[in-house]
Amino acid sequence: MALAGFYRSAFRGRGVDFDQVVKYVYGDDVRTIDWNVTARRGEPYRKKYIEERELSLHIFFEEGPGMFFGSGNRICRECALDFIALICYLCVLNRDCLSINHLTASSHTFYKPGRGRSSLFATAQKILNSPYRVISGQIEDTKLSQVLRTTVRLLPKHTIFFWLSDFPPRDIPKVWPILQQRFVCIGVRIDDPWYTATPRSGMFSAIDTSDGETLTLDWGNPKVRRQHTQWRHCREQIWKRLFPAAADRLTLQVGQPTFKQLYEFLLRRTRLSQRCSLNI
Amino acid sequence: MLVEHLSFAYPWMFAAFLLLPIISYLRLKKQVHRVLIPYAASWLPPRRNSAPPMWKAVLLYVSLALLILAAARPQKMIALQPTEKQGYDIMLAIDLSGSMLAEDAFQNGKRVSRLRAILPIIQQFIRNRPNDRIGIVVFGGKAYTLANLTMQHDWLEEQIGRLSVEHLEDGTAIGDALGIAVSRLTQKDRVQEGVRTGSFIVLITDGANNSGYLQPLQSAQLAARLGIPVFTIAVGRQGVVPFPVFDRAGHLRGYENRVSEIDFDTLQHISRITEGKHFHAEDAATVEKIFAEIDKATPKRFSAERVTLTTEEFHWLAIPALLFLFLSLLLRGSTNATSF
Repeated sequence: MALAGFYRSAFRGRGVDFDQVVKYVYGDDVRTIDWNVTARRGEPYRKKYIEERELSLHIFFEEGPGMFFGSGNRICRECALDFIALICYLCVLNRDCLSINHLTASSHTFYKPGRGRSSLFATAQKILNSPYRVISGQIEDTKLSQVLRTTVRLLPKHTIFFWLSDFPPRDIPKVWPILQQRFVCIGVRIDDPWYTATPRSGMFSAIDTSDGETLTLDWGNPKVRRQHTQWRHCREQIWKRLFPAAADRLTLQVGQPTFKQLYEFLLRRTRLSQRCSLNI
Repeated sequence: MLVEHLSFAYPWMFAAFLLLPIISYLRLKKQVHRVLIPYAASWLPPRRNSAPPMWKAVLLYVSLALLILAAARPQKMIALQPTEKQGYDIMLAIDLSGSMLAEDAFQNGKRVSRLRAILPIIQQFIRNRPNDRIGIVVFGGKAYTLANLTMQHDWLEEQIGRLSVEHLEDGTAIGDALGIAVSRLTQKDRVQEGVRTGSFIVLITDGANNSGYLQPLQSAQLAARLGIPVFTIAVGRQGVVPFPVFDRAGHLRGYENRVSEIDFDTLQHISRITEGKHFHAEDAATVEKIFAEIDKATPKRFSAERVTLTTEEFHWLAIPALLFLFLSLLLRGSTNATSF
């Protein structure tokens, strides 16, 4: 289970207290390999530390109007649910504690921290079966900050905080620095091709689900293309301001398999964190 | 002569106007497919105050209306009346016998000869009938064709201005003159359904038939058989009239009174059997009235075979219609169901 290995390496540093020696899985930090045991047994083993047992994760799933869009076969929401399902599964494998905040324009659901197969699978089922409704209107900034503020109080320190959203250009919530201090914040951005590149041509009579305006979108119009480029630029800026470290930014392309993208992210993050710890 | 007017070749096309409300109703009912695109509004360039959606619909309906009008085929009809096809053939038989010199007519208070008095009136008559073909027969002791039927009235007037008694030998050949006039009219074929229509003879004389080969009544019967009315005008007063006397060199020596010898019976008879009219003109004013009456009796006819020149004028409507249609397509962002 390579993904599980990378997941462990990616999100935790090494703890201080030695717990036991466990079988090495591809993706685990090679530096933890206990060479003595490996030599004795003839297969790789690694040391496990106490800290690894207690890992708290949180997914802040912000289901804005941007989630109900897909220029291709899939909409962003499906990709986001894929991600949630994968994280749930990884948490089950590692017996980690996972809680989920599900925020839409009209509702807010908090799934209490749970651990283990039954609890987490139940949570995953609820989220995956949550009513699919096209919601017009953005999530209000006040509501977002309020939910974030509550989350700060609810979660233990050093929680791995996944913010799952499409991150449209907007103001950064004031509470955000506190979250950055307390938690390990990782941004998971769902990207439709239309969010990242300007289509060549096409004319659509459309409704903007973020504010309900009816309009005609003409990609052939250079002004529209220019404006869209500007919008993209703005979105990218917000994204980088929210998550300054490249290792904290995961961008999921709707059109590509979520599993593969998550795997590559974890791999990259592992390498970065190893480099950091070597420097120390 | 040109008569212009506008008409529609397919007026039933106007029924298509009934379609316009139906189209507008269907447009209102039409379900528009829309894509849900979040943030799309922020991808559009900041709007200038764009034309309200009403304009698009207004342009569309105006262009449709114009197209319907164009489809009804507006045509400009120009009626061309060919000059040969209308009007009468008229032969004027003018007496140039010596008695026409009798000065029993007055013009502007002056005594003038009968001939001088009637010639301007004949010229006026010719001028009044620009669409008729007119020919002239003059007669004294013999009858001659001065002009065959022609449309060249200027030339005719000129010829009439030159007429004088001296050219012909004395005498009054009414019968011959009528005969020649009839034969001139028959040369130009104008028979419709076996009856000659559209021609008549005006016979102007002041005497009785006293020479020639044909008797007036014979000629009249000839004319009657061909259906040519003969309007006879007896010129001059009855009784004693002053008559100029010339010497050998042609100088006026004085006047002598003579009894005019107008043959009213024969003239009346001629006009009766040819279904024309007989008039008696004692002076220039009466002659004028008589010609006016002839004008009235033979109204200027228009040929039934009217040639019309039709010009299609649809492009004046179709081109702006297409322009409007194009403009309404150009107006962007207003395919709303909210616009009618």
